[in-house]
Amino acid sequence: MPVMGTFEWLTMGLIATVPYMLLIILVQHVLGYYLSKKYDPHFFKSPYFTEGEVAVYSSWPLSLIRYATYIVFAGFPWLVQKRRFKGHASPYLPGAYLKLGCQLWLICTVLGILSVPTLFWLMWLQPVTA
Amino acid sequence: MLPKQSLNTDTILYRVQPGDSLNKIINNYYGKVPLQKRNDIIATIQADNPKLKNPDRIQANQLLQIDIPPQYCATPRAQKLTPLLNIDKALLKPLQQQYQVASPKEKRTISLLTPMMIGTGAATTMIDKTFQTNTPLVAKIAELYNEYKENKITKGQYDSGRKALLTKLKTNLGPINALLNGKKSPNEVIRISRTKGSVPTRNITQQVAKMSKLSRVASGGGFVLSIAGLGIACNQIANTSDVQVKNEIFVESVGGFAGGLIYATSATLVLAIMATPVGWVGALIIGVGGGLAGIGAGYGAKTLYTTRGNKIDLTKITKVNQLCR
Repeated sequence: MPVMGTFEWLTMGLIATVPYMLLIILVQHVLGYYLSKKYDPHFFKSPYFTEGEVAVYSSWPLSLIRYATYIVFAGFPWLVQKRRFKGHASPYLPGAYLKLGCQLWLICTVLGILSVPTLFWLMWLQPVTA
Repeated sequence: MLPKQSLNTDTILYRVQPGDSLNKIINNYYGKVPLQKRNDIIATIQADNPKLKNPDRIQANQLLQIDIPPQYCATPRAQKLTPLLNIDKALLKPLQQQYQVASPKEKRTISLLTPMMIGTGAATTMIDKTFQTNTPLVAKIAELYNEYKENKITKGQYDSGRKALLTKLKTNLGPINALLNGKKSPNEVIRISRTKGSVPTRNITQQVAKMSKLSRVASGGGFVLSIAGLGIACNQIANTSDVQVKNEIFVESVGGFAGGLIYATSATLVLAIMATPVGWVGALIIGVGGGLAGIGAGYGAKTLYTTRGNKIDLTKITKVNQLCR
């Protein structure tokens, strides 16, 4: 195994974000699929989604936006209650474990998103080699 | 909510069986229907059964009033589509041969195009899904016409049903209609044929066949582009003996892929939280933006690697050089 410097470790970190983000998307699919069965009959229609949104969010890959909306609603309802799901609260919220799963997903996703520019920035700070 | 479907539904009293769910019952009578229609059917069932407060909770032996098609699964389903093109190595071979004789400048251009090709692959898959979802709407118009000719529905019911289906089709297809019909709107194309000696629903059948064909092309095209995009990057690594160049290609591809993924995930979250409606134009902008973000991130990663990186072989550490031979 060659000796790796800071730059190489940062590069490996950047490489690791790819499987990490793919895993995030996989979990998003699982959670979103489960939640959409529960929420679609109530929410996936006017006035919560426009007719155009219903058409484009019905199939992959844009269905991921619908899944993300449901996950955010289940994990941090206040984030989407101000706009899309105005006035909707307790009757549709999930159990404690599912809520925790949705919260973890959102936190991990935000960390993943922030990691790439951070890694780029740290790599940029490394000294230029000849 | 569905318009009260006196024109093409019967009403039954259904006794819920142990293990039944509303979705299962709908599947039994309507077959596989688009999500929006399923939601409409559930809303209709709720309206017909005021005591049904929660559609997720129905109990065995409960009686439900349900509107069903005159024949079970009478709703026309999408024409059976051939799943994906069979991709074999022979299809990629000409691509590889072309790449091997390309100049260094051409190879560089190809490497920049890789993330864009992967993004385009996702976009064409989306087009495929659109056709698959909407083909039943067109087929439904032919069914309505046949019902009208058999005097099962009135002219007014046929006209309003046709108008509603065409409006929905137009909204769903969006700019993709241009791929299908050029400058003509669905209303102009999906007409009853008045030509003597021809089948009246000929135009509609042709439209269904065209959508199915384009769907297959889009589905296959998206798959080919995605595979080709990834294959080219791998091929580049395999065909280069210079370890530094191998690493540059690797870092650029990974950076591009990571950039595209991050862009897509961020856009998803922002759209979910901000609740900004996304139409077809927005979807296309997101797709193109993902490709551009991929190119930018790939270029940035490569520049950083060439200017600041030491000479450690990342392709060897990650075993990519064994994977791409």
